[in-house]
Amino acid sequence: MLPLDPSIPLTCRVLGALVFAGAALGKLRHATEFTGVVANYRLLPEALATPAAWLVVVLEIAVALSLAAGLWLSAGVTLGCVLLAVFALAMGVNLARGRRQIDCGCFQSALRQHLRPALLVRNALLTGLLLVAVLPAAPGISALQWVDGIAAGLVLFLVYQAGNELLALRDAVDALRKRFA
Amino acid sequence: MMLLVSQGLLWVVVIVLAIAVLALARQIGVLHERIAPVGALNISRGPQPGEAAPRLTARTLAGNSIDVGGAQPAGSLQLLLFVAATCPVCKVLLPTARVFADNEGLDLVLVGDGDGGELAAMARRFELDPARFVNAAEVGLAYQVGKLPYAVLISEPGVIVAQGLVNSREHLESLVVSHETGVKSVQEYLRNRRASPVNPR
Repeated sequence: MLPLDPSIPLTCRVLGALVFAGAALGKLRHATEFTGVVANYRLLPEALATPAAWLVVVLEIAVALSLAAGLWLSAGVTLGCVLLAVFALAMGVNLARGRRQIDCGCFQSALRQHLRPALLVRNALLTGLLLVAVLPAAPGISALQWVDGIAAGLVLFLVYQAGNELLALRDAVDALRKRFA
Repeated sequence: MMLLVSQGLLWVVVIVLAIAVLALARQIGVLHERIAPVGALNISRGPQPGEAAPRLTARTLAGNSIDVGGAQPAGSLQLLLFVAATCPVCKVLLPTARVFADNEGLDLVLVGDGDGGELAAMARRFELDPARFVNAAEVGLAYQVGKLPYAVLISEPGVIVAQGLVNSREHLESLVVSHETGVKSVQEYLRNRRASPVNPR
């Protein structure tokens, strides 16, 4: 098998760093609301909701920094995968409880996002992408590969954000339909 | 080097396009947020549009008694706006409602239910006429108002033209539009549109 082109793990690193940084930023901008969201998942005792919310933000920033700088990459990727798995678990438990109407707390869109199975798929895809970031690649990286990797990561992040917007839009359309049914 | 430059140029184009797609998706989201309720939402409790508007005599903040509901003087429409000092949306809506009632030539009567002092302070702040500001729980009970701010438009013969939960100028306008078109609520409008396969436009 051909060795992996170094621009591919680079793409995944850039995408992962942007996704985690964007997620942390969204949560910081809606800090009070996010604490409420964590409490609303009803998985932790009320008193732990605030520290848990801050812990999530700090860990997300750590993952973003590790991916961006390429330092302690395997630790960063592991932590990122654990976070995604914990989020998926929290969403899965609430979906199983039938609490679809709660806000996912993703803060990726102008609209609120309700819980839906598509979010679990999204987390699984992100986990896969993070793992590609630590795959062994062919040694040496050229200027062209740097440009390709960084730009592709950036474009994928923009497309990911657009996808989030469209996912949130489906909720808004459903709500409109229900309201006037 | 040539390849690097042309590749870089290509990426710039792709990034700009991706930003455009994201901006469009975002804008659709923002539009959805704005249009969400397109008219005053009629709540199917209490006296309905087309029925007689209960007539009550109530005391205002200025101390006099006025008639609320019932038949109106010729050529006049009464707009009852139910508000409370503790309702944040009411504060956003009040200045709009005042200007709107002026422009449309409506007889605006505000109806509160609570501490007279707080309501008087609110009337002062929004330059509302205390002689057209009623503080009485009976009015809200007669019209079965459950959510605020709630508006009821009453026609000359004392009939409810339209009513509903109002959060914006568009919602207030929908009440007057309802008077002009004869469609009683946003729900009825949507039902009619769905029933006729041809879009009236």
